[in-house]
Amino acid sequence: MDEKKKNRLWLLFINTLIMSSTANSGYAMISVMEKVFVKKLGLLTEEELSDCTAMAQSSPGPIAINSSCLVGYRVAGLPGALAAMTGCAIPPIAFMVLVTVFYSYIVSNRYVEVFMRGMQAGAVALVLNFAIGLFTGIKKKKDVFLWMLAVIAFLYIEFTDFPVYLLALFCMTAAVVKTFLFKGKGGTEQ
Amino acid sequence: MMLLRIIVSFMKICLLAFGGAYSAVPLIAREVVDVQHWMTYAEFADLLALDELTPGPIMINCATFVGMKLAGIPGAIAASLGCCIPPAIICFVLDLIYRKYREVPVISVILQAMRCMSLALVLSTLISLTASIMFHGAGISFANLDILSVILAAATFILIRKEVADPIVVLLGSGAVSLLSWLLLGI
Repeated sequence: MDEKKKNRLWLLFINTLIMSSTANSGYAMISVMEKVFVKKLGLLTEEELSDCTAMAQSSPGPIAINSSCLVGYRVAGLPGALAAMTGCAIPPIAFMVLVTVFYSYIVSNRYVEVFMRGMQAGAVALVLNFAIGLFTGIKKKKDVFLWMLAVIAFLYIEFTDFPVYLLALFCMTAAVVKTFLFKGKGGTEQ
Repeated sequence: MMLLRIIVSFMKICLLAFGGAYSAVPLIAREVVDVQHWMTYAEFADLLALDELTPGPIMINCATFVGMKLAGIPGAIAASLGCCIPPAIICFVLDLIYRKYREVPVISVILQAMRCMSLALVLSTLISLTASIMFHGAGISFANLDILSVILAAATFILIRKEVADPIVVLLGSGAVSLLSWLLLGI
């Protein structure tokens, strides 16, 4: 029994370690989890995994960490969660430490500097791509209230120095209040 | 006390980052560049580019980079821990609720509201990044405009949007073009 549990912890740790060093996003990781944890190892059912991924996507924080934590917890309780999270966190930390050391050595080189100039321009495009992703997500909802929230949030961020968490609290409260006010009148929500 | 400040900063970022990289990037920019002044927008753009070269969640990558810069490897571990503690706690609570009620209706409403905030944040980051990269932080005017950066950004954007190639390849290509134009044309 004890041996079996230890074995499960190892499986969780090793597999999240491998997944995290190959998958480039939380979403990619979820699809690999299905292949490995559900189909290959049978550690949890399809339904349990979909519960975990639904929760992972709706709680704050990196989705890969969230899903590892939840899957680990389902499979082997608290130690499982810790094993899976550690496995998931080690590769990005290790890779990034190496990259950072390398970067700080070469960044003052003129050639590297010019190369990074091009990569920086690319990074601006990446952020623009993020913005469009969010924009189309909100547009799909066809809800004026959401646009109002977005505009208020933008003005708050650009023109005040108040902390972001106050804005987050405001947005959440406004959305919840609005949902409950319009619930009885058949509002726009599903 | 630097380590403690790093942990707290990344815990704050992490608690507000709903929905992955989209929302995490502007939150990190705001906290690390605007509030704490730990790096500049140009360095932040370097970080975004380097993140593409490494696997794993962007939040952990950013945390490690910032932590390393401020306090070496202990800093990197502290910052990454800051990214793991809040989700762990929240996931346990959510798991308990979920097992009991199967679904939590308020969550979808909260997620939508947070998406609006993320859009606002990401636009704000985009403005700051553009000012720093395209105008070299020297004020928004045509004389300061870096034409090469604009062309490279536009090309990168189109290639990524049309999914012609992997972002990492496109970014490296953008770097290569920048290097070539300096070697051959001197710009």
